[in-house]
Order: sequence, then C-alpha cells, then structure tokens
Amino acid sequence: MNRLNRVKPLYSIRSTLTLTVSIIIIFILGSFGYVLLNIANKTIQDVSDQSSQTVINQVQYDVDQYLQTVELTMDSVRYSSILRNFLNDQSFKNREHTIDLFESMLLSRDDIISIALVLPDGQVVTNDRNNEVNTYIDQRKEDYYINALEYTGMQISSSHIQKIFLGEYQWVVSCSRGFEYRNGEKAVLIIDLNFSLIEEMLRRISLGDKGYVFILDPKGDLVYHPKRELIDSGLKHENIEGILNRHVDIFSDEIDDEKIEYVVTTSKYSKWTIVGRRFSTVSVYQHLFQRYYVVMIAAGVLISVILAWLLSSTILKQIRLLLGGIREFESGKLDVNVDIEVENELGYLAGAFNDMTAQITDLIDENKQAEKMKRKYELRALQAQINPHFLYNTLDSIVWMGEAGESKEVVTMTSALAKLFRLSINKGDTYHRIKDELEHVEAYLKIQQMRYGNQLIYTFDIDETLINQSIIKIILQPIIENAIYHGIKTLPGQGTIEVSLYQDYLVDLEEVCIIFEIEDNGIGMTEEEIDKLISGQYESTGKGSGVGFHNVDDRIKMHYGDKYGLVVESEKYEGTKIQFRFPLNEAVNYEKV
Amino acid sequence: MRRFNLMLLLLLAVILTGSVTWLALSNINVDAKEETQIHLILKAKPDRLSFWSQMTEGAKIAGTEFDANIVVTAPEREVNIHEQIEMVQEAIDEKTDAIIIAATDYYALSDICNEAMKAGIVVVTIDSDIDLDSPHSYIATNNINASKRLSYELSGIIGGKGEILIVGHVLGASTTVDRIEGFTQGIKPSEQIELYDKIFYADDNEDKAYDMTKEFLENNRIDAIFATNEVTLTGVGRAVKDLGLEETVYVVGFDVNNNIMQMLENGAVDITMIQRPFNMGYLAVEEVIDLFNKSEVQTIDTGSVMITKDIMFSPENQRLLVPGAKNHSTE
Repeated sequence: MNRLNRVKPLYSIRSTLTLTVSIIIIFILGSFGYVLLNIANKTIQDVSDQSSQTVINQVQYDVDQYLQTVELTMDSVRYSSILRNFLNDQSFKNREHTIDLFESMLLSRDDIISIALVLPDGQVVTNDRNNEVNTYIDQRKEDYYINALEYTGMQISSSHIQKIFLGEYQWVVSCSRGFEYRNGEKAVLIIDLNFSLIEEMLRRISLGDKGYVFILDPKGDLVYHPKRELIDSGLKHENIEGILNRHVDIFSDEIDDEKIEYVVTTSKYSKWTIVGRRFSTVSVYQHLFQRYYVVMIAAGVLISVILAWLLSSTILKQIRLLLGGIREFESGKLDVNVDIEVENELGYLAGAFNDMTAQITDLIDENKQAEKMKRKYELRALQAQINPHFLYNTLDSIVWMGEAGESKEVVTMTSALAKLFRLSINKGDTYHRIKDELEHVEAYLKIQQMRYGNQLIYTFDIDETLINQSIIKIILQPIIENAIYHGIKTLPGQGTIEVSLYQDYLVDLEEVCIIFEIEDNGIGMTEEEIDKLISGQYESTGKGSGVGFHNVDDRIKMHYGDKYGLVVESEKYEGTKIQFRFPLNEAVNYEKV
Repeated sequence: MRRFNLMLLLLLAVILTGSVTWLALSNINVDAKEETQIHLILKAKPDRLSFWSQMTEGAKIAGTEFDANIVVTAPEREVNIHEQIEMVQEAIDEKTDAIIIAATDYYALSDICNEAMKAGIVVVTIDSDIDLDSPHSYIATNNINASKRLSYELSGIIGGKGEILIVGHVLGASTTVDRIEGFTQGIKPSEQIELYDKIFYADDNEDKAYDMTKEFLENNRIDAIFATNEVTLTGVGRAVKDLGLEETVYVVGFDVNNNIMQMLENGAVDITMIQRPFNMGYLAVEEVIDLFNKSEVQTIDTGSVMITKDIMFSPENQRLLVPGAKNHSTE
C-alpha cells in the first residue's frame, strides 16, 4: 500500500503538462512578438523619420519665405524715392520724411523692432524720433554693418542684443544691406527682427512629446531656441558641433541623459540650420510595446497553467478514481467497482480492474459457501450424536431398576429415553418447535433426575405464547449436560436447574428477542474459565456430551447471525446463568407454516 | 466539469481584458498625476527687479520641466521681514510640498522655517541663507568669493590706494553680510586702501541709496563706492551720474538691469558682478525634486561673472545681461 503513496505521480503529470504547455506558449509568443516588435520598430522609425523630415523642410521653407518678405520690405525702402531724396539732400524735412517712411513700415509689422539707416559718417536715422540713439555705440563697428559693406545682398546676423536706442536692450536678428551712397561710399540699411513670428512658426510644430525645433546660424549660435534660457545658462545642451558637421540629416544622440534624435536641414538662402529635436521615437513606443509584451507573456503563462490544470484534472480525476478503488481493494473491500465510463486507456484499465475484483469476489464467495457447508455438515453430525456414556449409564440405570423390580420407574425412564431419541432423530431437520426442544430437555432432565435422585431438582418457567416458535434443534441439552456434569455433580448439596423462556427487548441488540435462561446453583466459574469456555478452549473433562458450549454458540451464530448467541454469567461457588438469545422475527412460527 | 471549465475560461478572459485595459489606462494616467506644489518666496516683488524676475523665470521653466506648480510670493520690499514670515506661514497652512526661500534676514526667518521643516515641507534656501536647525540645500552665488574678486579688481583700477564707501542693501541679510565680508577680505594689507568708517544701508530702497550717496558725495571726496545689490547699485550709479562724477568716482557692485547696463555704457558704473538668478531659480526647483527623490542636501554655487563696459556685449556676456531672446522678456 505504501508504494502507491511514496511516488507522487499526480503532481508530476500535472507539472510536466504545465511546464510543457507553458514553454510552448512562451516560445510561440516570444518568437512571434520579437518579429512583430522589430517590424513595428522599423515601420515606426521610417514613418516618423519621414514625417519629421517633412515637418522640418516645411519649417525651413516657411522661414525662408519669411526672410524673403523682410528682404522685399528692405528693397521697397531702399528703392523708395523718399530715401533717395534724403540721401541726396539731408535736410531736416527729408529726414522727417524718412523717419515717417520707416515708421509706416513698422506699423503693420509686429515682428520688426526697428529700421535704421547708418551713413558712413556714423550718423544714424531710425524709425523712432522719440527714442534717443545710443551714442555710446558706434554702429559702424557692429558685425551687421561690416558684413553689409563687405558682401552684396541681404546679410542676416546672429541673434544679438540690439542697443541702437539708449537704454533699450533687445534680442534681435539684424538684416542688413549696404548700397551705393556717394563717392563709392556705402550706406547700410538695418532691419531688426524680433522672434515673434519665428516663435509663432516653430511653436506650432509638433515633434512628439517634448520635441521642439530650433534654429542655428552658420557660426553655430542660436538664432532661436524655445528653451534658450536653459541653453544659454548651460543648464541644458545641444550637440551643435554634431549638427553642423553631420553626415546624415537624421541622427541619434544622447544629451543630458536623454536619448534623442536630431532632424536637420540647412537653408541655402538664409544659411540657417533648422533642427528638430525629438525623443527617440522607437524608444517611446518600445517602452509601450514592452509593457504589452510582458502582459502577453504573463497571460500566456497563466492560460497555459490553467489549460494544463484543466487537462490534467480530467485525466487525474480518472486516475484518482482508479487509485481510490485499488486502495479500497487493498484495505479489504473486495467488491470494489470503479466508475469510469470513458472510452480511453483509463476506461479499459478501470474495466479490467472491475472484472478482476468481480472474479476475486466470486471466488471468495464460492470459497466461503464451501466452508459454510462443510461446517454445517460437521455440526449436523455433532447434533445427531448422543453421548454413548449417557446412553450406557441410562441403560445401566434401567437394568438396575428392572432388577430391583421398580417396573414403574423402568417405564418412565425408558419412555423418556425413547422421547429423547425421537426428538433428536426427527427426520434430520435443522429446526423444530420450542415445545419439542423443551420436551427434549425435559426427557433428558427426567432421566438425569431419576439417576441422581434428590441431588438434582429442576424447574421450568415458560412463556407459553412462545412455544410454537421454531428454533434450531438440540441447543439446550448440551448446556444442561454441562451444568449437571460440571456444576452440580461435584456439589455436595442439592443442585437446582431452572429453565426459563421469555421475550424481552434487549438494549444492547436494540430489538425484541426470545431468551432461554438456564440457571444452576452449581460450583460456578471464574472469569478466566468463562473466557476459556467462550473461546472454545475449555477442555471438557470427564463425560461431557462432546457438543460443547462453543459449538452451541457457533450454531446459533451461524443460523441467526453473529450478534446472537450465548451469554454467560457466573460466579465461583455461586452458580452459573447462561442466556440463549434468538431473534423473534427470524423464528418461524410453526402454526402459520 | 465542462461547465466549470467554461466558467474558468470566462473568468480568465475577464481578468485578461481587465489587466490590459488597466495597463492602457495607467499609461495615460502617468501624465495626469498630481502636481507638486512649490512655494517660491522672494525678497522683493519680481516685477520691480530684473534679478527676481529672472529667478522666477528660471523656477517656472523648471516647474514646466519637472511638472511642478510654482507659486511665487514676495514682500513689497526686502526690509519687510514680517511680511515674508507671514508668507512662509501661509505656505505651511496651504500644506505646500516645498518652500524655496530667499531670506530677508539670516536669523528672523529661522523659527518659521524650522517649523515648516518639522511639518515635512522641504525647505531650500536660495540667494540668501537662513540659520536652520537641520541641514538643507542652499543655492546661491558664492558671495564672499565674488566680492573678493570684485575688490581685487577695483583696487587694481584705483592703483592700490584710496578710500572706498560701502552702500549695503539690508542690514542682517546674509547676502549683504557676505558681500561686505568678502569685499573687506579682498583688500590686501599691503595696499593703501581704506574703507570709509561708516557703512550705509539703503534698506533696499533705490531712492534712499540715491539720496544717501548724493548727499555724501556733495560733502565728501571718495575714490570708489561699492554697492551690494541691484537696487543700491542703481541708486548709487544714478547719483554719481547726476553729479557728473563718472570720471572721478569708481562705482562697483552686484547685479544688472537695463539702467545698470546703460550706466555701464555711460561710465557711471564701472564693474558689476553678475549672478545667475535664472540658474538659481531653475536649480532650486530641480534640487527640490531631487530632494523628493531622497538625494543628499547640498550647497550649489551658481557662479558669477565680472562685467565691465568693454566686454559687456561679447557673445557670451550678452546672454547673461539679457537672458532669453523672447519678445516679451524685454517689455
């Protein structure tokens, strides 16, 4: 039995199944997910590169357009007759007209801060007659002035603080252009732009979460940057060198511990470099993908575990049933039937097991039946037996009585002996009426009394309603024989035997029983002797009938069941009381048969 | 058994759907988390002074970067110590997450700020420190070093001899104390430079600085004046300019604004030490966020740059004079 408990096949089947299914699911999900992830990354990268590139090119186009409008404005001022007149004749009136012209140019333009004309002698004419020109600064030393003299066309400066007006300091981009004044000298027209329009243009550009666009001039200075303060103060950085010396227009970088991507284009017109900075697109999506991926794997494992559980449960349920049957069989319940009605190997196995138990049960039953029959025949033989000593003694008594001329006693004893024999032979039936049994006992007792004389006295106390009940034959006589030979014979005084019959409800058997009681006042037994008697180890010494107490008990139990039989109460030197118990309903009433 | 399986699978499907939905939703919620609130308590109203407005700008930009809501309060003037104490109390009452404070007085703010720290509020000092029980982060210019450099430079210009008047902004503020201390340390014993007996305090009032200086210059001869902050430097510079003493009296000081720039250009002011208020504001907020994430307290020196007329518009320096190229910042 222990062998089955030692190994744990149930768990190993379940875990093997779970492990196998999990590995398969993880493998499938893993390889599938990996391929999918790579395809998705590539696609996202391509798409976002393309769209970013488009956006940046659009920004460059817009900025160029914007600067071209500034150049148009500049040309319209440069070629205007008002300016020409002023250059020819710097009268107060012409100067006022020029200022008016400049002023009118500014009216509709929020993005232009100031327009200024710088003459070779350092004289400055601006759009604002109320604002004092800053005389601490010589405009001719500024970069935008020098460049305008040196190069043709409109020059665009780096962003710088414009201090053309006294006490005003503003960040601007200066557009400047030199043109013929007189005697080969050149005058320079300056238009200062603030960043309102550029900011407006770039602010609308979306490059994903936290992405933005900024502009560099050819020297690498920032023209515009949405986080200019952070860059200027050195709190944040851009890889400006990398941008200017780039080989491709889209490249990844790591700046301030952030993985980013630059999308760059340089304008041929303004020489400005438009830079889009965005968070690494793939890394953003990858993060998202990874989360779903992990969930998918987790779900896969969960599903596989549950699947394996369910699968193994169905199989294991049958195996458990079968195993339970085997264990029951082992513990002695031989007619086990395992209830598995599945058309698979386990079903066949269960069927085979059931066949086996059935066969074994049959064999055992047959065996039992045979055994029972054997004992029945044995007992029948025993019950038919009459102690030859008894017969010899009785006949001897008759002879003595005959010789003494006690013919009346001879008749009584002989007829009692005849009755005794008639009742014990009686067609060999197993059962007879209680009345017959009582007659049988009375005949026996009569013979014994005649032999023992006054030494033996017997009385009957019978419930007459019960005497037609049936009972197995010859059960009282062996007990009475025991009582006489072992209890009374050696008694010095008078021996009494009291036979009573009644019915009573017995608490320990929980039913109404027929009870015979044989009570003697013989020498009695010790507990030890009672135990020996019940277990059949008691050697009947001397002339016992040979049908011992144990055999009587055996017969009652065989015929009526194990709970019935003999009950002994005895005390040494006080006497013995023996109870026979039979079921009332089991006994056949002869009158009704 | 079969019905049981079906139920299990159904349950599984529900769990799966739920978790995926939860995941998707939690992605959105990451951005919608509750904002940190940080009170920035300045010494004086930022609209009046470039220094404080730049600091506010820096703090606000950092607030955007780190998802923090910056609440800026300030007393009308730097001398209004009690007003500032009340503002700290208000911040405590509002159960703010952190206080960044530029203290008007090294000692007067101690009790209230200790109380704030006990209430679990992170306190970071900026520009001017406070005498606090617990260690705390302090973000400021190293004022002693900066003014030491300033006095070296000044004594070089005036040829190692002469008399210098000091005009401080607020008696008791750590910036005033440190700058005067540093300035004094920077004067070499070998040189024949004397400090005027009395240190003037302008109580963070430009007109007072102007009046004191003007009255002093009308009655005394002095070689140089050291003004300890934006307000006093503006007042002192104006007085010198109005008296036409640009060429004879050297004026040095701290901080910059449009007026001071102009005075640098016209010679009324000769040297100014520029601090980095924008960086202070930004770094203070960043420090608060770091402290939330359990980093150690530290003192951050944001540095200073000496500016004279000759170098004021160099590409590097002009960024410091007028930070930010945005249109609105110059309005």
